[in-house]
Amino acid sequence: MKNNFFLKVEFSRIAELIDFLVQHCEELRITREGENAGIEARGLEMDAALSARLAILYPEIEVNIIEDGKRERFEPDLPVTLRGILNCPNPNCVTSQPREPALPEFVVVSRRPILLLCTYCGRYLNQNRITAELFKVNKKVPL
Amino acid sequence: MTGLKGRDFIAITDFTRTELESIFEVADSMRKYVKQGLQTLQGRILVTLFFEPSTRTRLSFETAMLRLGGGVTGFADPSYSRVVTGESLADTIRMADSYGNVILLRHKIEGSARLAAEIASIPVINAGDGTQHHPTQTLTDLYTIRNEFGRIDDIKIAILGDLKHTRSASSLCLGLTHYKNIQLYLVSPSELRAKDEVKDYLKGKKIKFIEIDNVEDVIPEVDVLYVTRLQKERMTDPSEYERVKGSYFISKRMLDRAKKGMIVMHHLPRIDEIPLKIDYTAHARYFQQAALGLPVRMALLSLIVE
Repeated sequence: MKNNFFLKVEFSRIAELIDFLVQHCEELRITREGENAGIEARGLEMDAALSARLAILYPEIEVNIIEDGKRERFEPDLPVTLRGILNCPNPNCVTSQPREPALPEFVVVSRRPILLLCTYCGRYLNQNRITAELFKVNKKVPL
Repeated sequence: MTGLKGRDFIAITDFTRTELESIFEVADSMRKYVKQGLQTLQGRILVTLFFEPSTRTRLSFETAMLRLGGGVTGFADPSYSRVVTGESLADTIRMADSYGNVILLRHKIEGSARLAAEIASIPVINAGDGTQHHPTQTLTDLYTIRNEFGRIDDIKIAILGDLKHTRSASSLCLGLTHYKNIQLYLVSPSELRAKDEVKDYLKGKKIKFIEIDNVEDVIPEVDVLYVTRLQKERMTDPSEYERVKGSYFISKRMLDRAKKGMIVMHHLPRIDEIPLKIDYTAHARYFQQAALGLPVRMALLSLIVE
């Protein structure tokens, strides 16, 4: 379901976020609020993948949902298990093999700081190793 | 009833302490059949898929299945299979699933056994996946310790060597978390320390462990000295091997300070880390350890194959 959102994030971090949001919403307005950027995203579908992406890449982000002109705090949800949302950076993990039908899956070990554990290769993925690139999961596997 | 029928065995933590003990009890009873055999798995087929080399794991599993009256098919070298034409692991598993009653898989890719278990309807046993797990080696290791000391609780053990890349070492660390009052020494050059994931698991299970560089510091204290091989084939940086080559080994002189009943174990094959002289000391147990892999694997197959 599409909704209108207002997001507040450090100004230095908006370029990549805007690049991503613009693909998923109907209208985007950006204003400067001191050191932060205010981003009004209209017609944005906040699915599980987007919510997890915000929670992992922007742990300090403030997200509000706009309903009847009022802003209500919205916490980007990070489920216990992330499946098919984030790639495993370990090239020796079975989920990194393009021809094997294993969807990348992580268990959330810690939320702040973020620490994920790959269900398949058993390796950690921490904040420093997570980049926006890892969210480009191409596998669609009917297991 | 142990509730193990039809179960996969991907990591040593898949089974509870009670389940491990039930395997060990069956292994005790299997020891008298390792030469004469039984017919309990007649008509069942073990499919062995070895994408990496193996001596003990493959031979002991194949022997175990034959001794139990079952049959064996599969490959010891993927170059004799359609894998060379690019067939995926998943498709290979689907075939094995339709041909056999249990699959034994060794693969360099981490998580391969877990994927295989998701695909196959028959039990999958992990015979090693990359640097991650080798649960049946750990079963054998724990059984060897139990056989020697009559218990696994209260053991002081040093694991020496390439703790970063050796799946037998990682799996043994995880396996020891089933037991009480373990004192664990992780002995390695700094470049080859155990993975954070393994150490965090130990901490979570409240296992006391200390990381040290010099094995001689702990030899007088330990009941078990578990030596590992340098895993050259798993090092992504060739210079890493050159840096650590020869950086650890044990000698007969070092063992002079060991307790009388201390045993030296090794998952084998060994290279230079245990000299031949030690084979003839009262401490050497690595060949017995390898031999105990047979009743342990007979027990495992008996319990999980339907």
